[in-house]
Amino acid sequence: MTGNERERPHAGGPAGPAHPEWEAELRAGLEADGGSGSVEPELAIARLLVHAHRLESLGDESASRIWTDIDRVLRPVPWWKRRWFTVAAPAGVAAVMAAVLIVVIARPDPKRDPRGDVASSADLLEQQFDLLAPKARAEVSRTVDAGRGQLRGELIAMAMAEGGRTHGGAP
Amino acid sequence: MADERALVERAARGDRRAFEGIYRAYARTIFAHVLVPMLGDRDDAEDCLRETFLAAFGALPQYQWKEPSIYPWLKVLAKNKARDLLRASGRRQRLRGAFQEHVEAIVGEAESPSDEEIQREHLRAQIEEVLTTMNPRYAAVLRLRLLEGRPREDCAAAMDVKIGTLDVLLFRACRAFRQACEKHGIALQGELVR
Repeated sequence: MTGNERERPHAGGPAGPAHPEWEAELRAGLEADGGSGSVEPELAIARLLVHAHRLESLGDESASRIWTDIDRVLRPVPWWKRRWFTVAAPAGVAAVMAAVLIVVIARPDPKRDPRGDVASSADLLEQQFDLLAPKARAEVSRTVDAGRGQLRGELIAMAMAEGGRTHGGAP
Repeated sequence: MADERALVERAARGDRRAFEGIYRAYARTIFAHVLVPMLGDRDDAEDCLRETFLAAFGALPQYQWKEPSIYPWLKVLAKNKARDLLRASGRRQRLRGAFQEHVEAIVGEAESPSDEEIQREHLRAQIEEVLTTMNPRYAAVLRLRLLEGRPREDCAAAMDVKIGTLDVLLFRACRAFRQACEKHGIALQGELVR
């Protein structure tokens, strides 16, 4: 136990060295003396003299308040309150929920036979092809006939332009 | 403090109860003898005390025990924290009426809480010596108002002056005390912390 620990704050008693009244008094003195500017050098002297006789005490209440602040910082944080957890937990929950959703949606219906699904798809394609095929064949025949006629016409025109002779030398 | 070394070792292993013991033993001394003189402001000194002990808890695992106590190490931490605070706020030490440099110029540095008290007794004796060399009215106003802490009205009555005149006397007396210290071989203009 040191000497200053026995001392108590100056409740109603003389002010300690850090009390603002010293600065106010010295400033009043400087101004009354016709001066202006800083009173810091004189303030340091006043505080030194006060300090020699009365310490600026840290009362029990202040000491406990400061310790409470320190202890709050030093106390280990439970894992569920740590920063990494507050960031990672929502992301993890979201990922798990998304995974569950995908599994539920993609889960095959146990009442349905997958082979039946394939067969019915093939049947459907065949039916669609049957509907489209006759029209497509007719379109192909028409296009081929038209192309063939056009080509023949072009060949005759070229032959006549070369002196009425055909490429094979026939008249 | 009884078995301080064991307490420090427990605190270094993270025992907060042990660390509280160290805090309770030294916080008041560091506040009154180191931080208030360095900062000249009570609120700053409280903030700095908090920072000092937080830093101490973090640095304790690297602390090498030195007899007789952990106090000098805590004092160095506190002074560093106070300097950091002054630098961070762009203040010069003396601009808040800080007087640590004056204490050290008169009595030097203490290494333990009991040393601090011894140094303070020495400081009081030195101040008395300087006062005896001063103009008696200046010495009287310094004794009444600052050393004895008597109310302004009482001081004014004792000095047979008005309050305004007392303020002037006090201001002049503080200035005269500095000059008297210099005549006494005590230079009160140490290097300032920026």
